[in-house]
Amino acid sequence: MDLEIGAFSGVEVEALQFALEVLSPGTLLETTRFTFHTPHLLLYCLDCENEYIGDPEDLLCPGCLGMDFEVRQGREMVVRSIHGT
Amino acid sequence: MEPEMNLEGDALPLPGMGPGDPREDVRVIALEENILGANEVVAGEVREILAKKKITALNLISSPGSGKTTLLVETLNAITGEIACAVIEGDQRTSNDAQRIAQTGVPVVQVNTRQACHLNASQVKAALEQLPLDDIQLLLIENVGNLTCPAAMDLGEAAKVVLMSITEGEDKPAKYPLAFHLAQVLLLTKMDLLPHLRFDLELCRRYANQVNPKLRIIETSAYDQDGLDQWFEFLRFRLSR
Repeated sequence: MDLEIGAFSGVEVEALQFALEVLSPGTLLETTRFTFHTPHLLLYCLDCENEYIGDPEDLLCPGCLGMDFEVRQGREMVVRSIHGT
Repeated sequence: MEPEMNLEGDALPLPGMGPGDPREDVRVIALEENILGANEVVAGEVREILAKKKITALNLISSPGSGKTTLLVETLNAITGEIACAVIEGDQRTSNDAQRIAQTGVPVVQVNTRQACHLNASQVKAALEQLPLDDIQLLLIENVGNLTCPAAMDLGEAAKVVLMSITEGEDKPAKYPLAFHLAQVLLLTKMDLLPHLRFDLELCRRYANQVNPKLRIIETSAYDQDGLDQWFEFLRFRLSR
């Protein structure tokens, strides 16, 4: 199972990994191997049209310190796909 | 079980896979299923109910003890003549906060989340059934005291409001960026304590602006009633939208 857990999703991959390890035995997920994708926090500055990787503590555009930016990637908490035979 | 992870964000390929490998028969089902999707569906239902009844809901998020309930009580005492309010109180245990709110005469529902550290949309939807929705303009949802998980859970609110008491230290926005990033307003509480603390207000503003440059910051003291007028102005502004 491919999981996507963004850097700004509010979910800590290690904690989720631990929970899955503890909870899976005896369930359908028992033999499932989990692959975690951890998309960076990707931001887009509407002022200078710069796309940049954000530091969660400081989201401002490093180019112009502009006020207008949007989160393009990093909020994901998604089951991307399931692989099976 | 050894989950595979690569911190760059790329998946690792299945090991040793080549031509003729039985694993070539592996079927891949693309899902792109949002794990919080179930909550977001219910949050959408809550939003629909509130829109139908023309109710504006605010989700109040903060650490435990930042003064959410005290601010709510002062708010309700001041504005209930002007704005019809109701409150949903989220706490792990006890109905202490709901009792404090009930003394103002405003309808209140206590939701006990027990071990859970945040409210979810289903709990809010169930609480709505206990409120006189035809007589409410403003619904104030006091989330469980916690700056982490409540940020990730949409409750169907119109806006998030984050509270932070100045005894907590100026770097809370840097330590818990998501809550401050998603909020429309930051209420700095317990400002009356400023003379007794080494709290750098400018530094706090800088940290907050780094994660949310449009965040409106209001300095309040519920005891002295300072700054509450600006908070009420925000409530009126939200109601007018």
